[in-house]
Amino acid sequence: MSDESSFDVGSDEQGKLLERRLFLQSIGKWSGAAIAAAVFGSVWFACSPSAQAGWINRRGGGGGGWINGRGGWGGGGSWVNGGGGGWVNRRYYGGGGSWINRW
Amino acid sequence: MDQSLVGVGSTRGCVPPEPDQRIAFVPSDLVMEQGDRPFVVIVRSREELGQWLSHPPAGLQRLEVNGLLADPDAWEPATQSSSNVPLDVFLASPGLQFSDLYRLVEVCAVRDVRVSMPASPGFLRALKLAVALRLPVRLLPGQPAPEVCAELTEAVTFYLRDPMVETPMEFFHSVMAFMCGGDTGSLWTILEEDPALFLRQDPEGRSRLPRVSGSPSPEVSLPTFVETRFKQLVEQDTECTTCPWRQICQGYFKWPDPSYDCREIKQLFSIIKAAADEVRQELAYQD
Repeated sequence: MSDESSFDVGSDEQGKLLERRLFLQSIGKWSGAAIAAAVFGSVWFACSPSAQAGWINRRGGGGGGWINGRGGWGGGGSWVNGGGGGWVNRRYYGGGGSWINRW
Repeated sequence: MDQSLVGVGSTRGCVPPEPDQRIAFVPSDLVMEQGDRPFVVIVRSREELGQWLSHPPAGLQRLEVNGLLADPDAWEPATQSSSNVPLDVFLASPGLQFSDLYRLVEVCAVRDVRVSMPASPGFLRALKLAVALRLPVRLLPGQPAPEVCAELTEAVTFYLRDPMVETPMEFFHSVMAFMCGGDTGSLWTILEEDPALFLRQDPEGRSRLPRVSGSPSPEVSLPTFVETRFKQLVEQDTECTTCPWRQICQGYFKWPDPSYDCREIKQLFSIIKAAADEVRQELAYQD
């Protein structure tokens, strides 16, 4: 359903982003969605979109990020490792990098 | 592809392919052959919903479902997993319809579902319930009245601070990403109202601008509408000229009424900016 390559950062960067999210979660003053936006927002939109990609892949913003949201971001650990149809790339956002994976 | 679905309607609804690959939003009864071109079908009856879910043609991105949330029998086809077409469920009166969101519980177990709603009085009840159901939300602010701005302030605080919020709540979500360095595009794009990318049609099949009825005048160019409009606002020395949030707003809140007072809106942006700065400081401390 989703494109694994849409999250184009190296493993070191991925680890750093995950570490940041865990740190912010540990503070306990922010919502999970706000943390995802703050930590991963610059990566979601890192690849400049064509007009089409702007809404299809959502790297360029816009409200497509909800698609493939099932599974993945929810509780029970799936926030990190996903599970279900929308899990791909979920590990970074508790949600997504492309439009498909915005949280 | 089911020709009975893609071949119906009159030529009024035929959208010729264009190289820029805009996404077309087409009423169900006006859909013509779209080829591989991406499009969204707007459905308003249970029959239409069932048809498109059963036979999704190539290029169909999702269904925009209007006016069906009150119909308890409309959702049975959507709980079947024969296709995974996502649904964008529009609540015209979120303050009144919020309890109907429970009808989506079984649907979102099968397919992606988003809830879109205008920021009308009482919207916060629907927004909070959608979040509790773990549904992504697209909140369409338009030009909110002062009493709605108070509700928006409560909503943005809810989005930022409530640990229950895990799903994206647009437009706050992308604005937060923007404030943290994301290249999100403008609110027009975030809210899918930029006619350069999201081509809406009226019931007659004519292209239309967001949030206004009637066809645009011939001199309006849809692909450059946002850019042109914003340039005019700056030239007219509106408050956009010195607004610190103009990069992401691009005159969104000055449409259609250019005299709209953005004072409360600027406060919203400031709240998100303050949160982004706070997060940045905390991350700097961690580093």
